[in-house]
Amino acid sequence: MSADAHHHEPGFVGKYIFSMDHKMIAKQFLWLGLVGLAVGGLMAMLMRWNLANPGEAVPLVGNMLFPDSGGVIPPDAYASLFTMHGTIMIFFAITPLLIGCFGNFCIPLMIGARDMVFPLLNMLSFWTAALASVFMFGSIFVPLGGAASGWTAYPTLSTNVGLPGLGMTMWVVAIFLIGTSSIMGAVNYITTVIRLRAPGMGYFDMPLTVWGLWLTAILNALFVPVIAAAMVLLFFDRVFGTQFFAAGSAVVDGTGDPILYQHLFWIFGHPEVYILILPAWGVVSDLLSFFSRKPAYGYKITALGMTAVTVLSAVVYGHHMFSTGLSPLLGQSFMVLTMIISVPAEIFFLNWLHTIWKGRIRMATPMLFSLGVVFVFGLGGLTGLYLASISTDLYLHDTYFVVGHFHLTMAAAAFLGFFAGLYYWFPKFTGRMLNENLGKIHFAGSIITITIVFCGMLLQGWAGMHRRIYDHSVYTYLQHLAPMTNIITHSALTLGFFQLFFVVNFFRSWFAGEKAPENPWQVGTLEWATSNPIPHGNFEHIPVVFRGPHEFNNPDYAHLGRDWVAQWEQLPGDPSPEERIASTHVPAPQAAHS
Amino acid sequence: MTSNGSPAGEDRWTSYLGMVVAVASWGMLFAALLLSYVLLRVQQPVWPPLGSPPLPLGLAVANTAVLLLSSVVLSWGGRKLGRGGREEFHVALQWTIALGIVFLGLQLRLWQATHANGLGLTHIFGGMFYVLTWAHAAHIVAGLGALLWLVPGSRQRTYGPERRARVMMVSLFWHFLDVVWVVMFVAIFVV
Repeated sequence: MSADAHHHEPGFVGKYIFSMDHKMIAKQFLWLGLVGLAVGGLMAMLMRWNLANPGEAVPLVGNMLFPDSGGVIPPDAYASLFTMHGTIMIFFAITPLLIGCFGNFCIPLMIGARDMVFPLLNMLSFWTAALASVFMFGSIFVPLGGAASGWTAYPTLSTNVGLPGLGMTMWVVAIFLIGTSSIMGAVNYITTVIRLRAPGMGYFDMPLTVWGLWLTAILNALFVPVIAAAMVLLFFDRVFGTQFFAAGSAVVDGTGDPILYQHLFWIFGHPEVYILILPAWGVVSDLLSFFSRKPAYGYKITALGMTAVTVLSAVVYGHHMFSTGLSPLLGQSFMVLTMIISVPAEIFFLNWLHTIWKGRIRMATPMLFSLGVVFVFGLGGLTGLYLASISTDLYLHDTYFVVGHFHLTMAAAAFLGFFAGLYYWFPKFTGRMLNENLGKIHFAGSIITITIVFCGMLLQGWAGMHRRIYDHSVYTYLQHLAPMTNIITHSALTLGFFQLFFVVNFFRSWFAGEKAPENPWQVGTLEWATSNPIPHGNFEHIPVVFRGPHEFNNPDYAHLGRDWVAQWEQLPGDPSPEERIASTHVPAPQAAHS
Repeated sequence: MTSNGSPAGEDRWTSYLGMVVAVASWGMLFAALLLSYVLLRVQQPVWPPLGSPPLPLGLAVANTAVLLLSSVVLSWGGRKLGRGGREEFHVALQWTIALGIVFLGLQLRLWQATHANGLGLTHIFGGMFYVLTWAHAAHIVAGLGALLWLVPGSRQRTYGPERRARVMMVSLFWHFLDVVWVVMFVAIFVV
């Protein structure tokens, strides 16, 4: 596919709506994800209000949202809130932001490709996600309300026995559709990385961001179909009257099994948490090096460590089911496998620390958010060990300890990783810089409140607070935790408030921000090899890659007068492009054709 | 697979690789459905559960034979095409489509027979039987659509040894559906 093939100008619809350009699709995913993040975040605020002030009307918006109860959140609406909060944050915020937006934007640019390998499939992926969000957001407004079974949608809560309304059925359809969208994206990402790398770019010359996104795509391709199957079966149970997940449904005909759903859900669900966090790991691994002005310590080991976690993530799902009456032998096997997964994770975590150790650190906003990821992921990872061990898990199961743990590891870490990446790539995205001062306020406000909110939840869970109770004040043994609940709620509302700094910064900078220089962070990965705004087809000439992505402060290149060397720079002593291509076995890529 | 073949060869393998990934995804979908079948089955003392109506084995055997034959024909045509046999491929493609339609017809007869025997959706075995066979049949319909998509090019003899990415992709999908059916047939009708 030569650049000449794109000379015709697409019209408005072709350019902004049914675009097949990976950069526009990335922006579409960004907007979808930001809407999801806002809606999911506001839902969390409502939940926190109710936990701290049970039975009291929500100020300002209560009468508008819950007119029948005088502004008080009723119990069924509360159940729907935590269900939709989880679902929207996972499938309509993290997925479109980190996978849809960063995946689409970064993969072709960072590997030096003109676009994704299947642009039409890429467009379909976005519009399938858009259709899914119509079902998901629409499900809130149908009679009997939206889904209220928890984001896990366990039967019998999620079958007609628990939730007979149309809302839950629409939720099932929406998950199936967003899964289809993820798979389409994954097919594209995997193939693009394998086939369209710039000449001379071996797998171990790719930025770690691309590694993270690529591994995520592999998990998406293999495990999202499993929840698709679960959704098909759940749909049949709800609509066609099958009995797959109904225990004791009929003595003569045999019975269904609600635990079957849990197996299917977690075969998908555990890889899913790595699907969500792997892109953030990749982004952070790169940014820590870029802003410490040092090569990523143990680059290859970090890449292989992330690969090891990816492989192991497929065989640990049983640790979500310790309390289901799983056979003790199986339970112990899953426990050991889960503990083993912390080994590769710890190795690249230590690599991160080694990378910043004695670096010439530049405390720009992307670096601050990256350090935030290291902090919350460390906390979340350590608390995971208590949940991996059967003996402690049986006590902590379904408490706020679990909520605190997974919010630190995959929610806070993923969103801080997203913000790190957004502050970093915004200049490439829009040609303008985000404001550093507003960014730093956004970071400081977020990291402090996040720590209080989720560490508070860890403590409350340790004290035995159940994660899905509507009103804790009615339980004597939980009443002494009320002051802490109050603190968490105040912190959560403050966390929400600090996001306003980002909203202001984002809109102001998008339209009127300071013009970005060609290479604002002085980094040598391939997305900085092209001009601003990025031309259609990305690169005038596809660059040849001569080195890895983290060439900083190399004494061999001290004579250049700068502390970085780009991947595409051919310096004295480097092989010729032909020699480089021959030694890496990566020739100039060819686009897909029939 | 980053071989240093001709440009056309590169293109072919890029498209094909995408299809391999997609088929891996589809494989996991059917694997998850079959796992559900197995997990429900192992919990029953007898299978099919007591009182289940008998299944029309003869129809299913005929069905399997038809689909296997369609795969053999398509595979033969594809090999011929690789050596320039555009005529043979066109004939093979038409036969594959015809056999696919026969498979769907037989499948319809199979469902009529099980329905007449009283195997319903609310029955745990019946429910699983219909989910598996319907999911497969829906993909067969999609596969037939893909085969039909090849017909115009094949009629004009556009496809050849250097230009058969679409043929390879669709063939892979079709063979995959064949394998899925054989596994389903064994799981439902044989063991």
